[in-house]
Amino acid sequence: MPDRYRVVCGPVRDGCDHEDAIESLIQILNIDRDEAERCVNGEIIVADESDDQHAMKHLGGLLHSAGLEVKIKSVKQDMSPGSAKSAGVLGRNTTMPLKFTGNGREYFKIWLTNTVLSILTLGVYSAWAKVKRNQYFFGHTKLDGVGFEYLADPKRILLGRAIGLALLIAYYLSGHVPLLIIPAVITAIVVFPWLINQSLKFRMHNTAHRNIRFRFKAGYKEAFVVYALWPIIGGISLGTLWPYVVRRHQQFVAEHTAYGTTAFKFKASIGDYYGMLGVLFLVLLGAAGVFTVCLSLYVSDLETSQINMSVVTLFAYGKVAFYYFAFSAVHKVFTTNILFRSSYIDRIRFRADLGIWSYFRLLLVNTILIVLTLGLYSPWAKVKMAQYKINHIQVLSAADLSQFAAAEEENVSAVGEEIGGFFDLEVGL
Amino acid sequence: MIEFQGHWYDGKTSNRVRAVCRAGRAGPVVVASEDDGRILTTAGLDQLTIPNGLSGLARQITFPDGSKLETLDNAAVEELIRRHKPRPVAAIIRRLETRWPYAAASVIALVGFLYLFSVYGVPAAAKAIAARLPRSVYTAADNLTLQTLDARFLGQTKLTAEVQKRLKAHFEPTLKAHARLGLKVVFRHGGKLGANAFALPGGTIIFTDKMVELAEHDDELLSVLAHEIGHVHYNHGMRSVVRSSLLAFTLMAISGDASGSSELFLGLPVVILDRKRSRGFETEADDFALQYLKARRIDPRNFANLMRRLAKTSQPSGGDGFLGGYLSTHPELEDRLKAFEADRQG
Repeated sequence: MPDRYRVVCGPVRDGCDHEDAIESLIQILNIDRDEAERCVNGEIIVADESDDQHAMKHLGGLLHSAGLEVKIKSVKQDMSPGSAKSAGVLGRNTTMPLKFTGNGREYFKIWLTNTVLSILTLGVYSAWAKVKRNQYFFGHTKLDGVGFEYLADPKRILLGRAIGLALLIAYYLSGHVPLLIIPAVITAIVVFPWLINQSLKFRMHNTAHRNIRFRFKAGYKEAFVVYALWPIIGGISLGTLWPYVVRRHQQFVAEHTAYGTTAFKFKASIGDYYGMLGVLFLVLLGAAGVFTVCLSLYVSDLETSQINMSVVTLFAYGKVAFYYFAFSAVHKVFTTNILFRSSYIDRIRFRADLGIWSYFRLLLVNTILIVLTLGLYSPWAKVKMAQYKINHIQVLSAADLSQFAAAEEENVSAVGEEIGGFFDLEVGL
Repeated sequence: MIEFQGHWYDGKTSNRVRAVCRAGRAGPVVVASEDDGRILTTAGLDQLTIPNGLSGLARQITFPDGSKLETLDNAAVEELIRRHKPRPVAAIIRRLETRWPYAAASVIALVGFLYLFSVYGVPAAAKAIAARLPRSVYTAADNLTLQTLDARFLGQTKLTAEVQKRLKAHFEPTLKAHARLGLKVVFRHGGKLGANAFALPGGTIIFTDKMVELAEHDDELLSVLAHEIGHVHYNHGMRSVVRSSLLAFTLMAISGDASGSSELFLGLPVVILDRKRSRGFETEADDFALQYLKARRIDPRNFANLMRRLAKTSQPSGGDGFLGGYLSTHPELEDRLKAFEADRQG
C-alpha cells in the first residue's frame, strides 16, 4: 500500500504580506476568500492529498513561496468504506483532460504537400506551410475537448521572413567590411531583446483558446536585462550561476504571458534548477568516461596500421550525437517539468512529468528513423514528440474554463517573430 | 437552407455555448443557442471569415462581431463557401493533402528531386561557390586544419634537415611549374596515420615521415606530390567541404520541422555519399599525376610501386569489411594502377 502524502498549510509566514498570501491561496487551491483568510490568519487547512510524493512536494514549495507555513505529512491510506477523503484531491481540483489527437499518417500528407509546394515556389509557400503546421498541432491539442487555435496571417509571415532574410544578408556582408563588424555586433546585442519580445508577442497574440487570444507584454529594459545581462553573468560565473539565468528566463516568459486579461504567475525554487545542473553534469561526465574507454580500446588495436578514418568519423559523430541528445533530454525534461509545475493562472494549476530516459529514447529513435528515411519520417517524429509532451502535462482545475475575459485588440506585426525565427530564437515551449 | 450544429464562442469571454447555425438562400446567417433558442449572432454570408480546413480539425467561422462558431460538419461549411465564393486553389491543396495517390506521387517527386539535386545540383553549385571564395578563406582553412592535425594526429617531423632539403630541391621544379596554386610542402611525423600524404585546400601539402621512409626513390615521392597537386589544381578540398555543407543544409531544410535534433544527424548520409563521390576526385588526381609524369618523362611506374608497397604495409583493419568497401575513398588499387603500369616510358 503506497503511502499518501498530505500537504497542510497555514498561517502566513512571518514577514510575508497577508493580502498577497490570500490572493495566492485562492488561485493555487481554488478556495473562496473566507477560507483563504482563515487559513492565513491561523487556521491550518489541508491543501491536497495524494500518493504522488513529488507532486505534493511541489505543491508545498509553491505554497511556501506564496508566503505560507507548510507541512507535508505522510498518512496511512484509510481503507474504511465510509471515508470520502480517499478520493484524492478533496474534490477541489480535478484533472482536466489534455490530449493530443493528431496522428502521423494524417500529418504526413499535410507535411508532404507543404514540402513539395514550398520547393516548387522556391520557399514562398513556406509561410502558408508554417501556418498549416501550427494549425494542425495547436488544433489537435485539446483541453477539455476544445482545441487551441493558431491565427497568424501567412502573408505577414512572408513579409517577416523577407525582412529577416535581408537583415541576415546585411549582417553577413558587414562581416567583410572590418569597420562595420563592431557596430554590427553591438546592433545585434541591442536588437536581440527587442526581437525576443516581438517574437513572443506575435506568437502569443496569434494563439487562442475558446476564441480568446493569449497575450505577451514586456518592456525592452527588462528584456535587455534578462536576455543580454543575465546570460553574461551566467557566462562569467563559468556556469555556476547558470540555473539563476534559466529561472530568470522562465519567469520572464511566464509572468508576462496572459490568457485574455488574466496573467500567469510563476513561483519556482532555485533548487530545482541546480538539480538540473547536477544531473547534466553527471550524465555528461559518465558519457565522457564511456567514450574515452571505447576509443582507447579501438585505437590500441591498430599498432602500426593506419587508422580507418571512416570508423573514427562515425565514432566522432556518435559521440557528438550522444552529448547533444543527452543534453537536450535533460534540459528539455527539467525545464518543461519545472515551468509547468511552477506556473498557475486563476485557480488553474499545471503538472508535468516528462522522463529523461523516455525522452532520450524517443529523440534517439526519431533521429535514427529520420536519417534512415532521408527525412521522410519527420512528420511522424514530430507527432510522436507532441503526443509524448502533451500526454505528460496535466491541467488541474475545478472550474470549467469559462471564467476568462478577452483583452483589447492590439495590432501586432509578424516581423518580430519571423526575424526571431530566422535567427533561430525559438523561445517558449 | 443549410443547417448545422457546433459550439459558439463570443470572443469576449471564454464561455462555450452549444449552437445551431442556419443559412438560407437569401438572407443572413443566424447562429442560435441550442438550449434556449436565443439568437447569438447574425451576419451576411459575405461578412463571414472561413479559413480553409485542415484534415481532422473542426471548421471555424468567424463573425464580424469577433465571435466564432466551431463545427465538425465540414460538408456544410464547404457548401457555405461554395455559395459565397468558391476557392479552387484551396480545394486543390486540400485534395493534395488528403488523398493517398497524390501523396504517393509527391513522395516519388520529392525523392526524385532530392536525388537529382544531391547528385547533380549540389556538386555543380559547390564547384561554383568554391571557385568564388576569396583567397583568405583558403589560407584560413589551411591554417586551421593544419593546427588541428598537429594537435591531434601529427607530430614534429623526425626527418633530418638534409633529407628535407634534398626533397624540397627535388620538388622545386614541380612546385614552380604550378606556382599560382600557392603550394607549400611540409613534413610531419605521422604517428598513428602511418605513411600518408594530404593536400589541404589552400595548397599546403603534408608528407608524413613514414611515407618518405617507404619510398625507395625520390621520384616515387614526386609522383605522389603530383597526385596531391592534382587535388589542389581541381580544388577538390574546398569543393568537398562546400558540398557537404550544402547537402546537410538541404536535408535540414527538408525535414526542418522535425523534433529538432535530427539536423545534426543528417550529416551522416552526407558523409557516406560524399565518400563515394571522392573516388571521382581520386581518379582525377591520378590522371593529373599521370599527365605530369609523362610530360616530365618520369616513369609512371614510380607511382605504382610506391602505392603497392604502401598497400602491403597497411593491414586492412578488422572494422573495414563491408563498411570499409563503401567508405574507403581510394578506388580499387588494381584499377588505379593499371594506367600507371600500362604506359611505357614516353
